[in-house]
Amino acid sequence: MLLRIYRRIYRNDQWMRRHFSLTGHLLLMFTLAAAIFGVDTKASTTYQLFVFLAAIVLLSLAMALFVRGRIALTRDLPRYGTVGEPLRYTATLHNLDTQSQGGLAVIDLLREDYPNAVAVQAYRALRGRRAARLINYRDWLGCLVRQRGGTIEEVSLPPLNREPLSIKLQFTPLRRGRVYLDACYIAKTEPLGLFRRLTRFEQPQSCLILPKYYPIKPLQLPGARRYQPGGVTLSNSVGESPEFMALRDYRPGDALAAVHWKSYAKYGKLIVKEYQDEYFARAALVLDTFIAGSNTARFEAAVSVAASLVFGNEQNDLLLDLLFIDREAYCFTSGRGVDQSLHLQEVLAGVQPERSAPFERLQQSVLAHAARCSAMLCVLLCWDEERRSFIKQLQALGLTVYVFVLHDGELAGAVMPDAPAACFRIDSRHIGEDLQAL
Amino acid sequence: MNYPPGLLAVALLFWTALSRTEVAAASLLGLLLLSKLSSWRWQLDAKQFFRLGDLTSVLVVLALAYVYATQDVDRPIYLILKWLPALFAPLLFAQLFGSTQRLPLGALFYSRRRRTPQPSIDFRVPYAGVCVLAAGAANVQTPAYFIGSALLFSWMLFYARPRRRELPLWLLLVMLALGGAYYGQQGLRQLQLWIEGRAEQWLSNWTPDPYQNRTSIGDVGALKLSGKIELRVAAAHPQLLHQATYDRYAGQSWYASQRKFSNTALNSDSATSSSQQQMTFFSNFERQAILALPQGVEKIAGIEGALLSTTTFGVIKAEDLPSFAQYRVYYSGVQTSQLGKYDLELPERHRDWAQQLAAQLGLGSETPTAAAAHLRHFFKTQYRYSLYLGGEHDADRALRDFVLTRKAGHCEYFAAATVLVLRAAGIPARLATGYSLQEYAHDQQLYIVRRRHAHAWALAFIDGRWQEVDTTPAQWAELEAEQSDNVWQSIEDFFSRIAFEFKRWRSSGNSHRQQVGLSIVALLSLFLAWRLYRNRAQWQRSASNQSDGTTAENYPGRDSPWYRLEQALQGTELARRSDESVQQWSERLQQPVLLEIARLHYRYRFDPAGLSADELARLQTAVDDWLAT
Repeated sequence: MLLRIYRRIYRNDQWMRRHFSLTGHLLLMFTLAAAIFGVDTKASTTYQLFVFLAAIVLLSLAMALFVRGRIALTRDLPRYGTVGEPLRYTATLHNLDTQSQGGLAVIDLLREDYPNAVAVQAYRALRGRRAARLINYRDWLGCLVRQRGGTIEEVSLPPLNREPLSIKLQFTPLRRGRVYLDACYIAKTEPLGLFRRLTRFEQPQSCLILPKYYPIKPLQLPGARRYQPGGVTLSNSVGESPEFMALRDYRPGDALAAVHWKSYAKYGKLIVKEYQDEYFARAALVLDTFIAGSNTARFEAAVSVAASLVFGNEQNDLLLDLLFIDREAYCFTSGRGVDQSLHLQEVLAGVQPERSAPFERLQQSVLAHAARCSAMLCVLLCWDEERRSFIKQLQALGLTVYVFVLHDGELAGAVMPDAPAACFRIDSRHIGEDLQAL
Repeated sequence: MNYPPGLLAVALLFWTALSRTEVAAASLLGLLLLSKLSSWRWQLDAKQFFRLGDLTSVLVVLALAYVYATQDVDRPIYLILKWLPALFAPLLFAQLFGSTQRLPLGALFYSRRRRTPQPSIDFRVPYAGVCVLAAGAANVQTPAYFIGSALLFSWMLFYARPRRRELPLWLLLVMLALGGAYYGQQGLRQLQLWIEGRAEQWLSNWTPDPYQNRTSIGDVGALKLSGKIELRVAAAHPQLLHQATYDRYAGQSWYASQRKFSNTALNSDSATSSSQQQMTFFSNFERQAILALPQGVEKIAGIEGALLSTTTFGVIKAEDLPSFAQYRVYYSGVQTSQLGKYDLELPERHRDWAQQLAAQLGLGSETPTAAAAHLRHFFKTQYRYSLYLGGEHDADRALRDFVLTRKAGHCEYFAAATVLVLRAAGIPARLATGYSLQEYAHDQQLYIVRRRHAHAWALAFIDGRWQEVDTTPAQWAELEAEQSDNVWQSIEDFFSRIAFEFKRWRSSGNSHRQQVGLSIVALLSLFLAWRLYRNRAQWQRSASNQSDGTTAENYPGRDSPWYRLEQALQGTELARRSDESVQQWSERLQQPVLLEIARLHYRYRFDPAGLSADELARLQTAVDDWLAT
């Protein structure tokens, strides 16, 4: 019932915002005030002002019926955006009329679904607040905006002549994942400048919003370089694929397959091809998605930390496996010749918290993978008994383990039992500073 | 929204021309002029603007409270409307004297405060609108307001119109609106007068009609009881408060045959009273009311401004009453109005049972006093009080049903039956309605009179005067109190008490009242002002003054020798470009010494610890040496 009222209020509010200009809003407010104070025509004369303003508003509404203008619009949306970073894109307008058109504004909209009570409570939890018995409008609206992914600012246009006009639009994404842009409106004011007539352009497009990431120094992964037969190109397949480096004289012991027969024919002596063996580190980034005993805000922070680690280690010439559980176990690999780290970000943009499965599932999946890796970067949501024993097991395998434990301030200055040497506490409220300080 | 030049001044002049607020308007215009002439600007941040917004809201509320508490005006809201430009002035001048020349929306709308970046508006145009609105409170019923306000708003709209549009079309639309509105506003006024005329007729059914009383006899279902407090009375003992008297029972209603009200001077200073009996009343009023008073009123003190009139039945009507009044009533308790020709009239339909009952009780052979006592005893023992109204729609039959069959009903049945039986026994009688004093509030030492204490009784002409014959069984009050909703009523009573105490204070006529009100307002304003300015506000020269270089800023390290070096190279190809930092410049010149000097200069400028005397000397000599080479 309450949510239905909110929906109605919101729809009406949006309708007013889109259809009335600032001047229109101001005039409506004065009309209302003049009506209120003018209720008793014997006590004040503001009713005279009310009648005049009401006449102006009515004329404005009537004139809006005659507002015409043919325009074509195309939107050029980038594939990716990042949470918290302004996402800028362009839209191009073509005037299909012979005359120039003015008083235009572009209103682009993100697709929105009205949130239900569960979503609003989840939103409150994300904001670190307790569940409320009565949902207030501010929370409902906040949840709606978050689900939508942001708010695109309206752009007023200069007069539109015959030549195409390219305009810049922008919004700041509020959440990771995919955002959808359905329709775009062009608002055109009537001659009095109060009411606007909207023209709808269907332009369904979408854009993937990557998790927010913070600058981080590349981690030093000691002893992590291992000989990868065949180089990185095929490091996760079988066979050899050595890279050519130079030609040199034959030395006893060189493999016959390395002899460069063409040079032998030319110089009359055995010359062999020399190959650069490539040593690469292979590390696994383990993301703890088991939200039980934690909260959504911390999980979002953990995703950000994982994204920062992916970007931060881009220059570390290593293969990075991303391991996590989201209903089932996943492993994605990036590195030179395999995949771009951007794709790991894409994966991270869509990862959801796991609420029901036990932590053991991640443990099993990682241990099965451990033999191929020399280092493990574990992003954990808390530091409990299960996670402690998991890290101990990894250490027992002789792996270099980096642990990033998210907390809401309760671990600051506290003693963490059984913590490995490279254990970092990241406060989910200021991840940037904590990662910078690593 | 574009600001039409000069709009504010014209709007203020319009306001003062209609509202006669010359002093305030002159001060505001003076400040407006000062903001134009002076280059001083105040650096206010969003929070300070929000506080100003709060200040304005509090000022409005305080002004409303002050006006309501101390000024005896009919509708305080119009006084506030009149002074709106003065109340909103802090916001306007914060913008005009502010460095940003805009007003953050959060200062006007609380809901916009969390927005970042804070959207802002030019408050001058809305303020001009407020001036125009406020001028309406002057209530100058000439075309001046219509013409002035319409022209000012048209002027604002002219500047806000989309530029590309043709002017003739815009002009045509505004002329259309002007023409339509001119006739429209006249029509609206006439419409209201017509509606008011109709509504008055309808509303008049709500106040007790001294001529006709539509009784609850004949209503079906259960009686609805309201605990709403009608008045408070300081009296010595419980008694009946008489409001209206009726002598004819016809059909379903009681009528008063004496309808003519004549003016009376009961409330004037010349009225005298020999009686020792008095009561003090506290009551809310509409503009006119039929007063509920004890019998035989001789003098009313405290509502000298009201116009009182009375009928021969002793019904007192008051007009031009204040919204709340405290008045003292001196009374004799004796009503001696003459007998009328209807006082013994028995309606045909009720004659049989009334005469039968009178005969059965033998009232005809008793003295009137004994007959009244007998009747009182009869109803008390044989009948009972009931809030259930029965199922009979017809009032006549309902009354007959009450007397002969049901033997249970509410006070109107008892009163009507008593009047008719007394008349059948030859005793002149009338029906009286009013209130019964029964609920004593010990904490207030007052009788509380609620709507449910409304009562009806008979008046019998005994020993040359009209005496009350209340035959309703005494438990009626308890029964009705039981039926009411106690929880809700106690909450309602609590708020009613607060309102009462406030109104009592307000009407007490204390000479310090106004001063107390004023000092509370002043203290609160001072507190808000202190809250506002507590944050270090800085006055600073406007940008235009800063650029002329007459006021060098006092930043640390401004005497660094580095500037000599820069100055010396000015005009040469080695000079620092405007887009180069000191560091970049030093690097471009590829001179290690210069890098060292730049490092020291940076520390001198920005290091909180500054340079030691040694280091400063080193910087001096290094610059001198470099310049020498």
